[in-house]
Formats: sequence, C-alpha cells, structure tokens
Amino acid sequence: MKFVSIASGLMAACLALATQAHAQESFKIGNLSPLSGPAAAFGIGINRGIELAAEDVGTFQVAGKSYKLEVVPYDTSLDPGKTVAALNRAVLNDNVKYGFILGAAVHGAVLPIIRQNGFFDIFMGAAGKEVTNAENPTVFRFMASSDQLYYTFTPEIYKKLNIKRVAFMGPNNDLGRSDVKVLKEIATRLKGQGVEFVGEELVELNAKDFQASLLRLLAKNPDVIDTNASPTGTVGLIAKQARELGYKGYFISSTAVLEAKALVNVAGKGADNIVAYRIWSAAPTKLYDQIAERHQAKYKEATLGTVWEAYAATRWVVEAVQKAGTFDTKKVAEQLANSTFQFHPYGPASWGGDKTYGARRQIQTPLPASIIKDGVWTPLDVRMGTLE
Amino acid sequence: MLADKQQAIFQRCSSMSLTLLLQGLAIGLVNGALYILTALGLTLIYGILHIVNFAHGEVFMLGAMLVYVVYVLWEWPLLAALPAIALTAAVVGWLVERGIFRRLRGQWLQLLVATVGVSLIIQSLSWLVFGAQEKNVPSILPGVLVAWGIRMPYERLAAAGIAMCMVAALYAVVYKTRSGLAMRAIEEDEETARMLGIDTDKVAGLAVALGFALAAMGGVFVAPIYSINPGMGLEAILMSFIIIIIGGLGNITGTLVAGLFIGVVQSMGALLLGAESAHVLVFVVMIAVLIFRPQGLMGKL
Repeated sequence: MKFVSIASGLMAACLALATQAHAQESFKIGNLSPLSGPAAAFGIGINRGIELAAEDVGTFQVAGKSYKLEVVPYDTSLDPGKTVAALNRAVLNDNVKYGFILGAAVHGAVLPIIRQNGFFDIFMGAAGKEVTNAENPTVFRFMASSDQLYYTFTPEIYKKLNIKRVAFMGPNNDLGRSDVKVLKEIATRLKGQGVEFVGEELVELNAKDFQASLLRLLAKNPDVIDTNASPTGTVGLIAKQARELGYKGYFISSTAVLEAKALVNVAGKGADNIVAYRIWSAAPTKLYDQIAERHQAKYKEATLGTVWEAYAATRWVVEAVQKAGTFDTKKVAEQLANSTFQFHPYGPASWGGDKTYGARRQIQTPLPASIIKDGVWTPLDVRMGTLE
Repeated sequence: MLADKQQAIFQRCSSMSLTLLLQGLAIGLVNGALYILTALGLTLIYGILHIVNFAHGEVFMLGAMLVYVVYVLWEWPLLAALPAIALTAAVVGWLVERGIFRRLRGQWLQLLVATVGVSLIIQSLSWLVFGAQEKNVPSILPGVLVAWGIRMPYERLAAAGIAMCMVAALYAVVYKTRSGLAMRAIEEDEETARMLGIDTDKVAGLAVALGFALAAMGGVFVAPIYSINPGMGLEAILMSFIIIIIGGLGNITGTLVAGLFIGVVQSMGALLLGAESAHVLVFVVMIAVLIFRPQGLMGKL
C-alpha cells in the first residue's frame, strides 16, 4: 500500500513537471558566428552575451504563453559558405527565426536567404548601405557601421595623431575591398589637410605571415596601417611582424572588438600605439561594470569585446517580441525600430539610419576610441559623431 | 600587355632599394625554412611507405598545442618539454601505424581515407580539449637581429637553423644508419626487403613514429612565431603538400630545395606584385612543375 502511494506520488510529481516543461517553451536565438579560428573570441563573446541576458530575462510571456531563451550556436568560421549552410540549417531544420550573424563579409551570401525567410538578423558587423537598407527590414545592425566609424571618427583621429600617410592591410574579401574604397574616399576628402592613401595589401583571411606584404607596405612610409576587418589575433600578428621590420607608426582597427591582453600576448610591446574604436578604458555605465563582474565570475576571464552589444541586443529583441505580442519577425522588426530601450551598457542608445540608409535599423550609441600604451587601453580624446 | 606588366615590375624593382630586395630575400629564405620544418615529416612517411598522410597537419598542430600546455601552462623547462612532446608524437605515430596503417598497407585509397579519418579525430578532440580561442606561446628568443640594414627576429632565425639541423639529422638517419638502409630497402621493394630478413613492420613503425615526431617538432618551433589554434593544421598540410609535390614526393633534398624556393617565390612575389598575386604565384609554380617536371625538382627518394 505504502509502495503504491509513493509510486502514485512520484507519478503525479513527474506529470506536474512535464506539464510545466510543456508550458514553458523555448525562444531560440541562433548565434551564427565564428566559434573557432582567429575570430573565435567574437562568436564566443556573443554566446556569453546572450547567456547573461537570458539570466536577466528569465521566463517571459508572449501571448499568454511562457518562454525561456535558448541560444543555438552555429560555427561559421567567418566563412560565407559555412554561414549559408548554418543559416539554412537554422531556418529549415532547427526552426530558428532569430539570430546573431557576425561579419559584414558573410552578409552578401546570406541576405537572399534572410529576405526569403524573413529571418530576424541581429547583425554584428561593419559595412554600410549594402547590408542596412529598406530591402532588408528584418536586419538590425547592433554595432557601429563603417560610415559611422570612418566618416565621423577617422578624420578626428588622423587630426589628433597627426596622421598624413594611410595604408591598409586586411582580408581579401568584400569587406576588405569595401574598406579600401572608403579609406581612399576619406583620403581624397582630407587631401587639403595633407592626408594621402599610400597603399593596400589584401591578404588571405586565415594568413598568419605578413612579413613580405608588410615590407611592401612599409616601403611607402605610412604613418598608420589600418587593419580593419581583421580579427584580434591577426591584428596582433600584423603589429608584431611590422614592429620586427622596424615600423614605429600607428595601427587603427575600427571594426574588430579587440582585447588588449590578447593583442599584447601576441605582439608584446609592439601592441603599443594600436588605436581601436569601441574600447572603453573606463566603464561608461553601472550596467557595463555589472556585466564585467558577472562575466568574470561565470567564465573566469575578462569580458570578451562582443559581450556588451550581444547582451543589449538580446534584451532589446526580447522586449520587442513581448511588446509586439508575437514572434512574427516582420511585426517584431517594426516594433523594435519604433521603440526606445534601456539596457545598453554603453549608455543612451537609439535607432538611426533613416536618411543615410533609408531604414531605421542602425544603432546609435556613445562610442569611444582608445589607444594601447604600455600594454593597456588608454582613452584617446575623440568621440564618434551621429549618423542621420 | 605582358610586356607592360614586365616593364612595371622592372620599374618597381629599380625604384626599390637593394636593402629592401635583400630583406625580401631574407624573409623568403627564412619562411622557406619554416615550410621545410612543416613538411619534413610528411616527406619521410611518403618517401618510405608511400602513404599520403593527411593527418600530418593535425600532428603539426598537436605539437604546437602541446608546447603551449607543457611549456606555458605547466611551466616545464623547455629542455624537458621538447623530448616529452617528440616522444608523445612518436608514440601516437607508432600506435597509428600499428593499429591502422599496417592493416591497410598496399591499399592506397583505403589508407588515404584512413589518414583523413585520423586527421578528423585528432582535430575534433583538439577542439574539445584545447578550446577554440587563439593561444600564444611567448617568444623564447625575443629581439631582432639587424645586419646591413636587414632585420630578422631571432626566433625566426632559430627556427630556420633548427629546420636545417633537422634536415641534416634526417638525412643522416636515412642514408647513414642501418635503420635508414632498411627504410630505403622497404621503399624500393617491401617484399624483397622482407625476404632479406628485414623486419618491415618494425621499420615501418619506426618511420611513422619518426615522421609524427618531426611533424610535432615543426609545430613546436613555429608556435612562438604565430598564434595557434586547433584549426592551424589545415594551412600546414596544404603548404606541406605544395612543397613535397614541387620538391619530389618523398625526397628530403627536394623538400629542402622546394621549401626555400617557394619561400623566396612567395616573399619576392608579395614584395614586387602584392599579397594577392603572391598567393596565386605559388599555385602557378606548382602547376608548372606538375606539367613540365611531374617527378618534382629532385625526383623521388
């Protein structure tokens, strides 16, 4: 008798648990990012940003049902072919409708799939109108665009550091080529101030030896080598090898979120005078500090650079879904574009891009620039302008 | 059109200083030595057993990751770390020969697929064990040698010197020892070698163990120069194949010549034509060798 009552009690408990589990469904957010290779820190940072946001969001209600966030990672290695395969798998096999897709260079390949399926692309990457435009209503760029960085930031930095001769070393892909074009345009605009674009070297994305290409570039006596579109490890290697060849100038990286420690580990003292945008040498908000502390406690290492933006993006998207009361990506996109949100670790943030891109899908946040001195980021007193 | 391009290159050469060209040449020779370091183990295994070892790149990667673990994380002295890694790789090689290569000897297609399998197993396990993030082995010899205006980091010079020592040592083993004689006998005709009383299984095991140890040592000495991750084997195997195809499959001298040749072609190509063209140039050279000298620059072992 006693056995029967214990068994029925257990069964009831199991049933209750099963019902609860059934009632609480998953809201899947994909992470289509490099989780291996030289750019892995970007993708791992995004994963962690989503996980930290999921802890804060907890269980949430949409149309009377309970949901919990679930991150579904796909390693793209920053390769367009792999990203297409990952997106097809996410959409067709795993029923993932929302996801982070990292890298402007992979977007040319995935945009047709995004448009066809209405996939909600939480876009982490640079470039400009080629990705953010009225034809892609479900693509929201949660990072600064190349236009924001290059046109409102770069001239200020050139002026501050007295940079006249500009060279570029970056990946031989769409993003690398597009950046060369933009840099040449800026140099032309700033010709009156004596700025000149002196040379470019487009290397394979996974290359690790740059000595010969750097030699060709250094023969043109640049004041700065722009290493845009290269991951942290690659920027470190370029700096190390350029210093070995006697280069004493600056490096600028505008799109990569660089870890000073990772750069110093690779380049040693050669990492000094690397300038990077979106690096805070002092915490801009309390939330920024809190995330850093939680990240350290949970993952036992310093916060990876993409964690902040991934955290904010996840919170914003979940809130937009709740406000819209549906998971329909087009309705959520409209809701998101017309809402204001808190929860950005960088401070007051809003949507812009109506005039420049014809789509209110470009985040605007405060953004600083920093320079490595004696192995640590120190503030460079310039600020990014706003983009209409 | 071609004449215009030649003229442009000539003008570029004449506008570049001699120091710059010599610096380019020095970079090419040292990089070539690093390629030799990478390809040597592959040459040995193909030269003796005619096995196209696709796992070579992963063993190279394993050497780099192990030096990170043993030297950086566990803080072993380098003199203890090096033999430990070489021995570990040799044991893995011996086990692979014993468990897989021996059972499939003579079946080249099955062997090829098996080495791809070994490669995937090592790589998958490495992602799990070592993680995806880039790792760095601090430079053992920091600083740069400056001579006649040419600059070369000590760590690269040291790695190049080690590559040359390894070529000499391998040459001595293959051509000056009884084991080497047995290896060459197997390469000529395994059946006859067995009839002459050579323990072919033992010699094959030795060759694979040595090949794996060489590959791992390549990874060890290249690790402080670049950053490392479990995906680095792919690049290594690609360059190794180019080197051994150009040099002559399985030919030690060929690997030496082709490594230096490709290093210089790549470096001077990048200096005179740019990085994009240099990358293509290497493959153009390889295809030209395949067409006009299919046995490679130095022929077989």
